[in-house]
Amino acid sequence: MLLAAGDMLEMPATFALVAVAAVGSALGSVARDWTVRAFRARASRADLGILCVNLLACVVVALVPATTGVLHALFVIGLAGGLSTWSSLAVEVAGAMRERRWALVALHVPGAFAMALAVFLAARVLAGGAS
Amino acid sequence: MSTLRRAFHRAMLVGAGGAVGGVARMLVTVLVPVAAGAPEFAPPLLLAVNLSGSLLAGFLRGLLEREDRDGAWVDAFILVGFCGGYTSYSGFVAMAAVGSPWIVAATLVLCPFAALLGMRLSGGYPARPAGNPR
Repeated sequence: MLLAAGDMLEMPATFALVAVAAVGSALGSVARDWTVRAFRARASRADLGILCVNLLACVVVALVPATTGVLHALFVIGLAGGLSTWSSLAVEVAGAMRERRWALVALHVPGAFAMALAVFLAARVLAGGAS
Repeated sequence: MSTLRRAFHRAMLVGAGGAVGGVARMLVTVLVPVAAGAPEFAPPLLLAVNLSGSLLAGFLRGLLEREDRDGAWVDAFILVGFCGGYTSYSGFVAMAAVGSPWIVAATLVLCPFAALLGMRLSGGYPARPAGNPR
């Protein structure tokens, strides 16, 4: 747990966690941009790049133990949060809806969610954190 | 500008936007519930973050489509960096794994519509009959 509800927010420690999360998010965002652009350049499919980074981020979240504040801030809130995205996915799905490409909508809304949840739960079991 | 310098420049913009977006998300979905002593606020706040980020991303995408000018920094810093770092799919899936089915359903349905609404609001993707291009 990063911080528990009711905890006093001590400023220096909180600022440190925010700074660590900012670094992780910056790295994750750059990695996402490179991945999506690589998929767009090589396969003309930015949507598959988004799917790929979202699944990878779910693995990261499942594998990182949720007990230490700095690790949680760096990898879960920062890196995985920056690596994954809802906004780009929503824009891709909105474009597919506008063009009435319903198979693509099905792939990226219920399909991607089912895949991501399965990957997350499988990674959590592998990490020994299944409950 | 050389290809390498352009790539570095873009990475800096995306990274800076991602850092700002990530901090904004942490503020809303982690620090606000902790300060309020109400962890149950976190799922609806994450929904609000993903919805507002999708709306902004749709608006900017539509704007970039409409405007016939170089929007490279808007794309890198705000659209890919800020909006991408602000919204989170991994956080959404982690939340879904522990419950909140209504929030999950609302996120899946409303985020694409929020992006579509943003596109419409910016005028970049106007509703128009097929075969009647602008």
